[in-house]
Amino acid sequence: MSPPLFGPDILRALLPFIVVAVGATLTTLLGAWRTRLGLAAAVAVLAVAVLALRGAPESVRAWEGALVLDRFSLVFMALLLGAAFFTLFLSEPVLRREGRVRAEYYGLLLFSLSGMFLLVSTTNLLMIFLALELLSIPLYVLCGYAREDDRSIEAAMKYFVLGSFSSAIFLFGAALLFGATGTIDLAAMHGGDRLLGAAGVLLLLVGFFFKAAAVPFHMWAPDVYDGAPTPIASFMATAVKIATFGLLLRVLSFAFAAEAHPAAAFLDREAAEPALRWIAILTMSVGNLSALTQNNVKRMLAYSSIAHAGYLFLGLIPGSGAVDGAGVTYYLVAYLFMTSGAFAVIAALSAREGGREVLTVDRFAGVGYRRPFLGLAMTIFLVSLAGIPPTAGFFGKYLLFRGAIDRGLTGLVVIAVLNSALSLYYYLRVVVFFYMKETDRPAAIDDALGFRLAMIAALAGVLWIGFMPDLFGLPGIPSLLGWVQASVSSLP
Amino acid sequence: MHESGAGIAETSLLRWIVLLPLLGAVWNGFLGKRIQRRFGERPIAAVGCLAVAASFLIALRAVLALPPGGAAVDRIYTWFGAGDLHVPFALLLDPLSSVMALVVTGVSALIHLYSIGYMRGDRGFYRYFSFLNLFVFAMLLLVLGDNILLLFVGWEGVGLCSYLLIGFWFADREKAAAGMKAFLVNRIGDLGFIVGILALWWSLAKHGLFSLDFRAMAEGIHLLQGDTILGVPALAFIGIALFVGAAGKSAQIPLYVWLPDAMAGPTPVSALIHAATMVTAGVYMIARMSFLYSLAPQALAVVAAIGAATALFAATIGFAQTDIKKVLAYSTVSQLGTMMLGVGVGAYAAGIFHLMTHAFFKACLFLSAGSVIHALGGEQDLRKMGGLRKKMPVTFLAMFLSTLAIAGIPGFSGFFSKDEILWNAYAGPHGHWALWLAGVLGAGMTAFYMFRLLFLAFFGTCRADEETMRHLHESPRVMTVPLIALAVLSVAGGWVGIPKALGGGNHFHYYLEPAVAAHEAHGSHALELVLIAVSVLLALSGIALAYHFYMKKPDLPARLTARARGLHRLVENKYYVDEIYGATAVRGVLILSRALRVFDDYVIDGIVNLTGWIARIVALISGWFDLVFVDGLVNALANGTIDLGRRARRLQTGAVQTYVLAVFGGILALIALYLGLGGRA
Repeated sequence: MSPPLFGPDILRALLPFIVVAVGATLTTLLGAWRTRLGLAAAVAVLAVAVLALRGAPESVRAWEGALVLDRFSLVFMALLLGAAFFTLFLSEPVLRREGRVRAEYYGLLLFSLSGMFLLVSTTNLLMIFLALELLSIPLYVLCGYAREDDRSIEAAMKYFVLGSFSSAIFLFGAALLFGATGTIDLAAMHGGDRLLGAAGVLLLLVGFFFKAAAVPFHMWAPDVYDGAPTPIASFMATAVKIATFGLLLRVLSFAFAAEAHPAAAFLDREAAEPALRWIAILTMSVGNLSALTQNNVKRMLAYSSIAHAGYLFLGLIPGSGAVDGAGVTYYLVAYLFMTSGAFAVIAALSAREGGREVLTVDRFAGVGYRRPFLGLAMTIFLVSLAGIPPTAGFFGKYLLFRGAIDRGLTGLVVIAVLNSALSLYYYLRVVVFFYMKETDRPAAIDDALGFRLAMIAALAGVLWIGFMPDLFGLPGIPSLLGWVQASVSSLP
Repeated sequence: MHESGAGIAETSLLRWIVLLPLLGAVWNGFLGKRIQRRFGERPIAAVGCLAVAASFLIALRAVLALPPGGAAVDRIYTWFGAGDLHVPFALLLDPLSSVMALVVTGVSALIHLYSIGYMRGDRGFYRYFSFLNLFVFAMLLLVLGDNILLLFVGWEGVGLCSYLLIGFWFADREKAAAGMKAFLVNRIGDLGFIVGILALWWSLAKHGLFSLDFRAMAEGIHLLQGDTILGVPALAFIGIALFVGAAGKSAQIPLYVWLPDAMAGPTPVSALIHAATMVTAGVYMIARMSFLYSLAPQALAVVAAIGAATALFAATIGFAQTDIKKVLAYSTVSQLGTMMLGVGVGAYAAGIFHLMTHAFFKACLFLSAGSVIHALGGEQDLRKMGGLRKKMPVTFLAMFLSTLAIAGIPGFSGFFSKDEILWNAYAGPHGHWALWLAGVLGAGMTAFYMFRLLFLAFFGTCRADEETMRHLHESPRVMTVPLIALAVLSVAGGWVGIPKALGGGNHFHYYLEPAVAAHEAHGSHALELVLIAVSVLLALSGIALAYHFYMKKPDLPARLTARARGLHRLVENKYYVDEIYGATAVRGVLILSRALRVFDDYVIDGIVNLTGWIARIVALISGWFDLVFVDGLVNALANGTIDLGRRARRLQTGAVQTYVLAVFGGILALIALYLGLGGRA
C-alpha cells in the first residue's frame, strides 16, 4: 500500500529542490570571499536547476504528499524559473547603480525560489507551511534591502508583520483541518467533521489570498511593492503570484473534487462559490479603480497586479464545471512576460533623489522618443496588460473569459470585461506621457544590458504568444496550450 | 457577403500591401534619427513615401486581378486555434475592402508627399514619417482583415497612432485635460465595440458556429434571429454595441467631442487620420457587418437617427467657429453623420460611396487649409485671413473645387454621393422623410459655412499683419501637386456612381453589391429628381446667403450676432457639451476612484477607532490572564521588539492596524458568505 520511502526516482524528483537550496547556501557563503560573483553563481544555479527539471520524473508522490512531482508542478517550476531569470536580469544593474552588489542578495533570492518550488509540489499542509515561510522570510529581508530608503524599511516591516499574521491564520486553518480530518495530506482527506473542516479550509485559503493579494487581503501590496527595490517588486508580482496561484489551483481542485476523486469535498461547493465570486469581483474592481488615480507608476503596477489576480480568480470558480486550471496557467504565462517587461522598463527609468525612489509618471515624458525601442516595448507590454490583440494578454484573457462563460459565469465575465476596458485608460496614460509630453528635466535612462535583455525576452514572449498563441507548428516545441492543458491533467 | 458566381481566389499578394508601410515605419523609427542627422530629410521622406506608394500600386494590381464580383484571400497562417475555434491570420480583398484599400493607400500616398513640404525642417521629421507609416499599416489591417478580431487589432492600432500623432505637437498647443477627454471618450466607444464583438462571438458559438471571419459569420448570422441578450433581440444588442464603438471612432453624438480637439496635431495628420481615413472606420465597420445590420432593423434605426442628428447638429456648430481647422473638424463630424445616415437606412454602398468622395474632398480641404496655415506662419484664425486668392492661386483653386464638392453642387463628387444617401434616406427600405429632412438641412448649412470659410479666407482684403503679409507665398510644388491631384478627384471622383435618374449607370453601387447586403430604394425617377432639385436649391441658397453675409455686407454677421448674442454664444461654445461632459462623466469616474482612497483614509480608520475601544474592554477582562501566564514571555519579546519598533515608526500611523482589520473583516465576510448570509454574486 505505501510507496517506497526512498529510491532513485525520488532522488531525481528531489534534485531540483536540492540544487536550488544548496545553490542558495553556496551563493550566500560566496559573499564571504567573492561577493561580486553573486550573479554568476545564481545564474549557474538556475542553469543547473533547468537541467535538473528536465531530468525530473513526471509522477512521484512520496511521504504523505510532502513531495508531489507531477506535470503540474513541473510546469509551475518552469514558470518560476523564468520569473527568477527575469529578476536576475533586473537585479544586477539596479544593485550596481546603488552600490549594493552582494552575493547574499542572490542567495536570499534563491532561498525564496526554493520555497516556491516546494509550494507548487506538495499537498501536505505542513510542507505548505514550511514552503510559505521559506518563500517569505528571504523576501522580508529583500524588501528592506535598500536600507537608506525609509520606504524600503517600511515595506519590509509591513510585509513582515502582515505576513506573519497571515501565516498564523493559515496555521490555525491547517490545525482545524487536521482536527477535522485526522490527516495533513490534502489528497488523503475524507469527510470528517464538516463544520470544522470548512472553517479550516476557509482560514487556509485566507492565508493564500493574502499572498495572492486578493481584496480585501491586498492592502499590504501597494505599500510593499512601492517600497521594495524594483527587481524585488517584480519578483513578488510575478513569482510569488505564480506560486500562490499554483497552490490555490491545487488546493481548490482538491477541495472541489467531490465526485471525481476519493478525496471528499471538505468545502461545500455551493456555499464557497459566492465568497469566491465576491473576491473575484472586488479584486479586479478595486485594483483597477485604485490604479486609475495613481501617479506613481510602480504603485500603479502594484494595483494592476491586484486587478490581474482578480481576473485569475475567474478561473478558480468552478461554476457549472471544474476549476479552470488550463486557463489560469496560460494566463500566468502571459502575465509573467508582460509584467516582467513592464517592471524592466520601470527599473531602467527609476532613479533615487535624496535616497528616495522617484517614479512619478511625469518622469516618463518624452522617453518614447529618446529610446524608441524602450518606448515601443513598454507600449506593447501595457497594451498586452490591457488585453488588446495581438498580444499575449489578449489570449490569456480570452481563454479565462471563455472558460468562465462556458461554466455559466456570464455576469462575472461582463464585470471583468468592463474592468479591462477601464484598465486601458491608466495603461495608455503611461504611453501618453511617453510620446505626448515634453519635459524640461528629462529623466535619466539606464541603458544597462540586463534591462535590455529582460525587455527583449519579455517582448519576444508577449509577441510570440500574441501572434502564435498556441506556438503552433514549430518542431521541437510543444504547443503552449497543449503543454498547459497536459499539466493540469495531473490535478484531480 | 454572398458568393455570387465567382469564388474566393487564394493569393499571397495582399500581405505586402499591409507589410510595406510597417517596414517603412520600422526602418524610419529605428534608423531615422541617425539617417536624418547624416543624410538629411530626403532618404527619410523617400522611404516613407515609397512604402505607401508601392503599397498603393500592389493594391491596385490586386484589385484589377479580382474577377468581377469575386474576392481574394491571403491566408498567412493559423493565428489561433483553441478547441473548436480557429482564427486564421488572413486578409480579404473583396469589392468593399478594395475600395477602402485604394482610398486609404492612394490618399495616404498623396498626403505623405504633401508632408515632405509641410514638415520640412522639423526636428522630428523621421518620427513623423514613421508614425504616419505605422498608421497606414494599422488602417490597412483594419480594412483588409478577414475576421473581426483582426479588424479590432487595426481598430486599436489606428487609435494608438492617432494619439501619437495628435501628440506630435501636443505640448505647446492644448491642455492636458483636452487629451484626457479624448482618451476617455474613445474608451467608452471601445468598450461598446468589445462588448459587441464578445456578444457576437458567444452568440454564434452557442449555435455551434466557431468562426469569426466575415463570410462564415454572414452565412450563420440568421441563426441568431430569435435569440435575446438581456431581454433585447441578440442582433439588435450586438448591432447597437458595435455602433457605440463606431460612434466613438467616427465621432457621432454623443461621442464626437474628441475630434475637434484632435486638430492639435499637424494639419496633414488631420487630413489623413481625422478626415479621410481613421474616422471613417466606423462607417466601414457597419458596411462590413451589413449582413448583421440588415437583420436588425432596430439597430439600423438607431444608427440612422444618430447619424442624421449628428449631421445636423455639427453643421450648426460650424456656423460660429473662427478657427479654420475647427470649421473643417465640425464639417467632418457632420459629413460622418451623413455617412452614418446612409448606412443606417441600409444604403451601405451609398455610405461607402460618400466615404470615398469625402476622403477626396475633405483631404483636399484640409491640405489647402494646411497650405494657408503654412503660408501665414501658423495662423489659424479666419478673422486674420482674407484676400489670399491672388497670393495663392493653386491653393485657392483646390479649395474652391473641393468646397463646391462638399457643398453638393451638381457635377462634383459630393453631389452624387450625398444625393444617393438622401434618396435612400427618403425612399430606401429603412428610410423616413424626417431623416431626409435632417440630412438635406445639414447639407444646406454645410454649403453656407463652407462658403463662409472660403470667402473669409480667400476674398476681401487681407486682415493679417504686415510682417505675415510680406512672407505670404504659394506653397512649394511638393505640396501643391497633391492638392491638384486631390482637387481633380474631388471633382471627378463621383462620376463612377452617377444615378440612373440622371442617366448614369450607378456603377459604384453594382460594384459593391457582392460585398454588402443588398438594398434598393423604391421610387420613381421623377421623385428622385425632385429631391435632388430641392437639395441643390438649398445648397445654392446657402451659398447665396454666405455671399450676402460675407461679401456684400460684411458688417451684417456682427450685427446679427449682437442681436442674438445668447444664441451665438451658445453655438460658438459648441453648446457647452465639452463642459457638461467634463463636469459629469469624466469627473464621475475620477470621483469613484478617489472615493476608494477616501474610504481607505477615513472610513476604515473610523472603524479602527471603534474596534480599538472594544478591544480595550476585552483587554481589561483578559488582563488578569496575561498577568498570570503570558507576561514573562512578553517581556522577553518586548526587549527585542523595541529596536524594530523605533525603525518602524511609520507603522504607527494606523495603517497596519487598518490592514489587519481589513483582513479580519474579510474573514468574517467570507464566513458569512459561506454560511449563505450573502446573495449570489
